[in-house]
Amino acid sequence: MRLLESIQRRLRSLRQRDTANEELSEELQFHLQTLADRHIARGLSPEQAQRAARAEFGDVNAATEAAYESRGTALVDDLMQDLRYGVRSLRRQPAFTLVTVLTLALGIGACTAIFSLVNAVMLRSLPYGDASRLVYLYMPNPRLKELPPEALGPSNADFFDIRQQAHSFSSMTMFDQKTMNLMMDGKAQRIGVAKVDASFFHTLETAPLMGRVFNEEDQQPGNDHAVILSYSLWQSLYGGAADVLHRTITLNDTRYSIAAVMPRDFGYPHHTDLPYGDGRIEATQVWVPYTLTAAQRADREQTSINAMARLKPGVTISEAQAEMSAIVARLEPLHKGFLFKGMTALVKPMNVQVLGQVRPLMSLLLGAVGFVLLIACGNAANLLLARAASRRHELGVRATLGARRGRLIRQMLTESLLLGAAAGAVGIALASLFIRVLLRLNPGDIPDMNAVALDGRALAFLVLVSIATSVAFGALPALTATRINVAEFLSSAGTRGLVADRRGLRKTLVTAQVALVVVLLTGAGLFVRSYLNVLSVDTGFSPATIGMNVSLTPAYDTAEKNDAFYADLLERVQARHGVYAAGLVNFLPLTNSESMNTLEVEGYANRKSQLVETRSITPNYLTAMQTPILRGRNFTPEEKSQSTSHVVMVNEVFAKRFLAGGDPIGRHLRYESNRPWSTVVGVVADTRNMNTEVAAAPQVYDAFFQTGNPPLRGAFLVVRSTMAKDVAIADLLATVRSMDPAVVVSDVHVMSELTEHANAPRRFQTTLLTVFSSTALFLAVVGVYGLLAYSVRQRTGEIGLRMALGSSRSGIMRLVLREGLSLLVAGLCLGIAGAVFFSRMLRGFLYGVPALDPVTFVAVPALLALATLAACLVPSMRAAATDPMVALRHE
Amino acid sequence: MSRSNELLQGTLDLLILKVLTPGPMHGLAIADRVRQLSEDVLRVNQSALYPALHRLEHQAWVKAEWGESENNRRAKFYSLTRAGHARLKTEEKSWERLSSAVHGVLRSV
Repeated sequence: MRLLESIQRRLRSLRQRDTANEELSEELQFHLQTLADRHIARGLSPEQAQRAARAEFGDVNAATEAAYESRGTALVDDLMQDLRYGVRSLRRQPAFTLVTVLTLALGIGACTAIFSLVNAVMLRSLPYGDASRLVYLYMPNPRLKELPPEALGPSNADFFDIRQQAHSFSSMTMFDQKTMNLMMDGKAQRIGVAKVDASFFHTLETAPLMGRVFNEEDQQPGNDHAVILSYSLWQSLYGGAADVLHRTITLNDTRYSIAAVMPRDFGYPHHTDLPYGDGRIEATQVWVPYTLTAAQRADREQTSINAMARLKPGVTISEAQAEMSAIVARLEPLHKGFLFKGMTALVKPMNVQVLGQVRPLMSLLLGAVGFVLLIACGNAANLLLARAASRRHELGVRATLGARRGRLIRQMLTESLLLGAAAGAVGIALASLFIRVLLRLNPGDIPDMNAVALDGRALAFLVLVSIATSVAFGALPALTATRINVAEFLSSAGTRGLVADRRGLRKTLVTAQVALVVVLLTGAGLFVRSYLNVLSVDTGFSPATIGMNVSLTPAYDTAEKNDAFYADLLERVQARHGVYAAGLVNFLPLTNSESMNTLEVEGYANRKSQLVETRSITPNYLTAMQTPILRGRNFTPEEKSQSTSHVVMVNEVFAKRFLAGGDPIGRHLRYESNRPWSTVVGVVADTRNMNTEVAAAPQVYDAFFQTGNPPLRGAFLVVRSTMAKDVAIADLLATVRSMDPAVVVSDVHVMSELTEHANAPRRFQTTLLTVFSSTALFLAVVGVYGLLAYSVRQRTGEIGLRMALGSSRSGIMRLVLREGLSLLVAGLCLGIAGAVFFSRMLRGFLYGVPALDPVTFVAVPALLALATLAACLVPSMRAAATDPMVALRHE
Repeated sequence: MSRSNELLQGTLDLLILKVLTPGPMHGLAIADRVRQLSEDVLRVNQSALYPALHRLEHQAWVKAEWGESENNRRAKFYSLTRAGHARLKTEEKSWERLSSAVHGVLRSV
């Protein structure tokens, strides 16, 4: 209330300002007059009395102004005056205003867009209650060096034992991922499914939009025909019908009754949520109960389940970790098989798992965009300094007339706040534009990226940044320009002085900008070089080969039925027009799926638990992929049953690591010591399987029809065709459908698309960093140009004088160029030092490029030198073209 | 005016409030009264008096009314408000604390 009253009083006295001023002067008049009367009474003349009274009183003007300000109206009053004055003076210089506002808007807009991204990905809380209390439970084995810790979860029996023994968790859940086939519009579709236990939704603290979540009953085998739908599936299948509950839906030829519909933003687990989840499932669309028989509950064999828990209030991660370690140490002896010997426990917060990988990228982007904003601020400050220099007459006059320095500073800061506000307004438009571009560049590996929006928090950030930048770029000019020595100003007849030191300041600013640009450009250069390296990686397969996943229905319940279908498929496809080669593989490269096997190699010092990547392929797979066989021979169609002697092929890395010394052909290996040896018949060129950036791991190829195991996630059909891509794909789809319309074909890609998808994160980073640093370069060039152009204008008289005294035009040009290039050299030196410092932090982002890459560290300064030279050329030519007569008269 | 006669920062408000306790007074009279009560030791810097008065008025510790002066001129008379009386009490207390503290230090050494 006090504040309100105070405001009311201020406003009232604002209205009554004129009367207040009159009253004040009357009051002071009375005081002075009475003093004078006393002096007259003492015998002074009226004039002498007046003088004496004034002397006794002191500075009347100061007293008036101080009294005026102490009434508290001054601030509001001055602000209005400053605003009016500021708007007027900014409108008088539209070019200056436009350039400054646009420069700042660019910086503010870019910053806000990146902040929205960080906000969506890192800051916004996940819709799972207090998500920071959720942890994943892993049971890594440090002895299995080939397997990352997050690849191993607890077995079923382990899970139940932990749940019984652990006191750190308020709730624990197990779930697994799978895909199911759903008939939609007469076509079989594959959808992402999570098999979840009864505590899944409870642990995530998520309630359905309608209906009920699973209970223990649903987990009993035979009772498991309940299903929970995602919001999007409810919308697309049932049009959001309110009576959807207890209707049925057919998945994998089985009827399920719909128990609930989840809210719109729930799709856990997403493919970014689990480190080794099913990469094909972007977001989960259907949840079904996880059913376990008593035998399955007691099983300690390795499974693919994920275990998640919610920490009890007050329990820390390290306490939970300690408890888990103790429990797992007790469980370890219960396991059979050397795979489990020495297993440990790992409690990993979900936030760390989900956001850990993107955090460095987010910091990088924020840092880069912050640099751009700083450079934009530097430009704005420079423009304001130049403007302040040309306003020194106005400021000098105001100072002479008694304006105090604080008042002038306030005036100038008001103007920069006006500029900042305008820039913020334009920045909103730019930010929403940038966000749209960001979404188009979405590399797919950033969690929640689609939620990026200009929300309230982003707008608040924008306002804050606008104010902060206004103060940042306005403070320096305001402080320096108002340092006015009135006596000096008057003696110089109000036209000269005060130029030199401010040019020094502006030079410092430009030097700093150049240095920042060097850092940014070096970063971008390293990224571009890395990206080019990645693009030129030899993937080991043909980019034009078509790959598609063919998943059979549960009707194909034996290995024989599976094999028969796939053999028939190959035969039919091979006979299609234009098909040059067709093959099958269980895990296509770059599809985020691998299978690992334990391995024993004859004549090699085998470690107890060494693992190797394996793939099953048909003979024509390598032909279709155009992956060359380096030594030995391919599989033959005869190697198709378990009865024939086992043969394998290996890749080059495998041959080098395990079969070094002597011919690899004819050597033996096996996956388990109780199985017969397989003979190596060929060595295949390496291919990039995990990722384009990860070099090939040792790899064994089995003959597809010899393994006896149907492929886990369907088989990939790979085809090399001479026909146009679209025609070939349509033909292949028709071929599969003609065999069995219920079979699902998904993930239809040309291999180059998979490569591109794998490169998308790097493309995203490189594009952003390149755009930021080009913007920065542009701003810096504008800055250098602005400074020199201004300096030439200021020195017109001096240049005229030099010419009149016999300096040549080229001498003048050198003079200006020297000024510009001295900035460049200083900036470059500082910038390179900074770049050396920062590039070390980038090391984790680089591919095939050292952090102190000589090419980048030469190219960036060269580019900057060229750009600066170009920026210097116009002002220096203009200086050289000066007519000495005109220039001298200029003063 | 010698340096030692200048008023300590902040004490002007206290003196004004104290001097105004008996009744309304105009600016010059306040300055005179301070000088008189302090037996010519304290002289109010008159150009600082009015900003102080207006500040006190703005804070609602004194109120001002126009009236007739002893020499028949129109003058602005200041008087203490209720809040002003309260303020005076706290200012007096803190002044006493300060001065006794200073006094204690001076005597101890």
